[in-house]
Amino acid sequence: MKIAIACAALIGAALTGCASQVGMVSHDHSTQEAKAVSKMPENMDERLGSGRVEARVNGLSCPLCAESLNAVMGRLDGVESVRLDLDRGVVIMDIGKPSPTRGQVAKAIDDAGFTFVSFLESKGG
Amino acid sequence: MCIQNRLLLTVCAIAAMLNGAQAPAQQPTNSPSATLPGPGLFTYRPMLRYDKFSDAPGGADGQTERVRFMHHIMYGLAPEWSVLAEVSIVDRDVETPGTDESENGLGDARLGVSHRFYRHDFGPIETFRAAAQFSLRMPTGSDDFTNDAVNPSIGVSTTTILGRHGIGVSASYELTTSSTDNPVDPGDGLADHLMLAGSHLYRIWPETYAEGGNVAVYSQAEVLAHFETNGDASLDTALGVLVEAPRWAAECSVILPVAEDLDERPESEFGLAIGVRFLF
Repeated sequence: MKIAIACAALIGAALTGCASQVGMVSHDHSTQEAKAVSKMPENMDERLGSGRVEARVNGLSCPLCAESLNAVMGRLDGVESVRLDLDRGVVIMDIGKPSPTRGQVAKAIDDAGFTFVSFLESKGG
Repeated sequence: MCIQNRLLLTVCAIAAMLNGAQAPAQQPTNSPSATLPGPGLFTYRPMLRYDKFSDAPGGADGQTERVRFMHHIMYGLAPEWSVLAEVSIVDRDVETPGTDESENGLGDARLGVSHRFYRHDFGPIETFRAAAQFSLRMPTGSDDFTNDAVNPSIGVSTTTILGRHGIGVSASYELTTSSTDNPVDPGDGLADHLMLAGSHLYRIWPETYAEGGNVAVYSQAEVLAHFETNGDASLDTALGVLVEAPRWAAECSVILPVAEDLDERPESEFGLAIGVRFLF
């Protein structure tokens, strides 16, 4: 009986582990730019313009995991509100003054446990 | 268990659910995950857990019913580090031939640290994360519920999110240096405890997220295997539902035994876990 239980557990763990690895490989091909650690923007010290700013973020795995990002981003000076579009992997920020730098936003995203990918074309600032 | 205690525990759980703060999720109800709160953030998971056993504690003839009101708190120290604390209030009814006893009090507390040592975000939602946990079970419980020693535990867990699927795998080992008089759970007796767990969460709804529409419903399936160095072994499955809303999450899970080979602790008939999760 103990052997059966042990085998069942190990096989189950192995199968789920294998499934996760297979899934990772297939998704890697579709998002080549994603890195394990956020790639900081080139012009890190440049301040974002006020208005709506969007950033692509990877790893927003669930609504409430992503709320962690909301909370951390909200501590940045100049970030007035944060919304998430989980399906597109986009963080939408309303930026006021004094506005944060690109590097500060990218680092805040990374510190919250997610991967900054890039800034998207800003809409209004 | 007396009616008043049951009512008190139920009221506490409902009050916690109505608190309405933010919560972390995408982690199974009964097994560890590689999910950590962000730096400076707390997560709080109160959970009501009912268990029925077909033996008395220690595996003697009889029957046991137990309710635990468990509180699990994590605090994000740094981007990849968090500390955790777990305490529980326990109420237990034990029926043996000729006796019917009710016991209640505090369970042993657990203090620990969790370190996420690997993170690979490979899509908007998709991610693979791995974390290590180290914790100490402290002899803070009431006489009936304490292990009466400081027991260290180490563990590793991984969480993979692939679109609508969440897959978790974890292993933990607890070195037991003393024991309760009448063990009920794995690790209560004077035997080390290895736990292996696998989980699958599936996002039932929505199929895709809309901007700002961040409510999700998941099904949960878990496999939990326990091995102790005294020869006891058990395999449980847990099925449940997890609901996430922007400001709270709620979970419910039924734990059923699949196979048990137990001499030192009672056989389980079933368990029921109901809880909420907050992040603030």
